[in-house]
Amino acid sequence: MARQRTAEVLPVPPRARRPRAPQPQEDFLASVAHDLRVPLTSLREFISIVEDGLAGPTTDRQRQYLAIARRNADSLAEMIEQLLLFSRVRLSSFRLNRRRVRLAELLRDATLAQGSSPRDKQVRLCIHVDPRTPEIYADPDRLLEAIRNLIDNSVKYSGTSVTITLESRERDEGRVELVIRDNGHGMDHATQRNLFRRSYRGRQARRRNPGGLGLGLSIVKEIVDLHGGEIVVRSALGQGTELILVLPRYDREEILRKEIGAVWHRTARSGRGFYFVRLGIESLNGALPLSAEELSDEIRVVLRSATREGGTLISECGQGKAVCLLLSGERSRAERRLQEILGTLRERLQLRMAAHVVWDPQPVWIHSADYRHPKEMAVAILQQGCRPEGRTHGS
Amino acid sequence: MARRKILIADDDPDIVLALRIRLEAAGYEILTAMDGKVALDAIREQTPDLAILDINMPEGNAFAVLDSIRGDGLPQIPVIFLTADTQEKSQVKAFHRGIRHYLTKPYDPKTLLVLVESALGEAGSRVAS
Repeated sequence: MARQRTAEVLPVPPRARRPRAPQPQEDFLASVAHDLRVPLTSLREFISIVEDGLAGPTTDRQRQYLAIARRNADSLAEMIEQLLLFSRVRLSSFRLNRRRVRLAELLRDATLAQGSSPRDKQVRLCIHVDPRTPEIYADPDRLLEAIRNLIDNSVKYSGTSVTITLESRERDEGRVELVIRDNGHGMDHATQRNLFRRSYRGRQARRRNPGGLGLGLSIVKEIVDLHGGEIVVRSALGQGTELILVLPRYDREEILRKEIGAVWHRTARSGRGFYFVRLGIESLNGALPLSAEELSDEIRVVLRSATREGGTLISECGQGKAVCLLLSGERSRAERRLQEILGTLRERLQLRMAAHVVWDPQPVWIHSADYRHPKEMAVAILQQGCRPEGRTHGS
Repeated sequence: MARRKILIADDDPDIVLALRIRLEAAGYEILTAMDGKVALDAIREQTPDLAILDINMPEGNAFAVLDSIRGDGLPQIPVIFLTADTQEKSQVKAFHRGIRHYLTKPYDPKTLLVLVESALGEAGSRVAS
C-alpha cells in the first residue's frame, strides 16, 4: 500500500527583505591572503630593486646577502600560498559548487590563470582536447586550483626548460581523464607511493628544492576525492611525469538521484524535509531570456550571500531549461530562507528580465520520512520530470 | 621622442614606489594615483598611454575604472590589472571583461616590463590600423 505523501504548494510573496549577509569563512581567508601578499610584494620587490642596482651600486657581498634574503622571501611566499589554499579546502563549511563543465574551457582557463614563470625557467604550456570528451560535473574553481597546483609542481621539479601538456579524453563510459604531462625530472617509486601524503617531499625533491610546506599535492588529492574521482601517477626518473585525474562524467539523472539521496539521508531520521523548487524562466513566446547556466550563476551568488547554510543546487532540469533547488531543514526555517532567496533572486533578475517574462517557482515541501528509501523519492521526482508527486497547481 | 606615460593606481604607497622605480628605470614617465577617482581624473586630464590599476583600491576599483574608461567617453587606453587576489575566478572574470594583461602580487619585475611593452605595442597597432 502506498504511503501518503505530503506535498503542499507554497505561494511566493511579491517581495522579500534583503537578507543580512554574513561573511563566509572563504571570504575571510581571501582577505587574509590579500593582506599577507601585499607586504610580501614590497619585501620581495625592494630586495630585487637593490639587487638590480637601481638604488646605486652594490658590492659582491651585499648582492650575496640580498640573494639569501630574496630566496627566503620567495620561500615565505610559497608557504603562505600553500597554507591558504590548504586551509580553504579543509574548511568545515567547504562545499563544492558543481555544475556542468566543458573541459576545453576549463583547460583554457587553467592556462590563462597561470602566474608568471620563475626567472630561471622557460615554461611551455600546450592543450590537447579530444572533441569527443564528455562534460563533467565539477566545481570549476576548485578544479582550476588543482590543475594550477599540478602545473606549479611540474615547473618546480623540472630543469631550466619544461613543456607541460594538458589533455582531456574519455576513459570509459562513466568517466573522463584530465591529464597533466611534463618532461621534468620524473620520480622514483618511493616518491610516487607517498606523493599525496601531507608534507611528504621525496629525496630528489628536497635536494633540488629546499623549503616549502609540501601541501600542494595533498590539496589536489582532497579536491579530486571530493569530486568522487581518483588520481593515477605514471613517472620514471629522468623521463617526466604524467598525472591523470579520473573524474565522473556529467549524467543528469545520476546527479539528481545522488543529490536527492543525500538530502533524504540528512533529513529523514530527524523528521525534517526539504523544499523542492524548480526554477526556470520562459518568456510568453517560448524564448529563453536567461539560460539555465546563467540562472545557476545567479542562484549561487544569492545562496552564498543569503545564508551561511547554502542549499543544494542541481543544474539543468527540464531538458536544460531549468534548475532545481533543494533547501532542507526544519520546515518554518527552510520556508523563511526560501522566501529570502526567491525575493533576492527576483530583485537581481528584474534587471535582466523583460516585462513579459513568466516567473513561477512553485516550491513544494517534501517530508522525507514519507519515503522509505531515497531511491523511492528520487524516482518519484524524476518521473515527474523534476516535478514531485502531489502537485495540485498547473503552471 | 617623448617618453610614454604610464599611470600607476594603487592605494599602497610602497607598491606605487616600487613600480615607479622599475618603470622609470625602463624609460617611462610615471603618473600616480592612490584611488580610483584620482586615477580617472588623471586619465581624463593627462591622457597616459597605459594604466596599471590595482583591483582593490578605494573610491572605485579597477573594474569600475575600466567601466568608466569604456562608457564615459574617456581615452581608450590599454589597462593592466594588478592585484593580490589570485582566485582563478577573478582572473577569468577579468579575461571575460576583455582584460588580457593581468599581474598578480607578488609579481616578477621582468614579467611587469614584458606586459607593459605588450600592452603598449597592442595599443600602437590598433592606432596604426
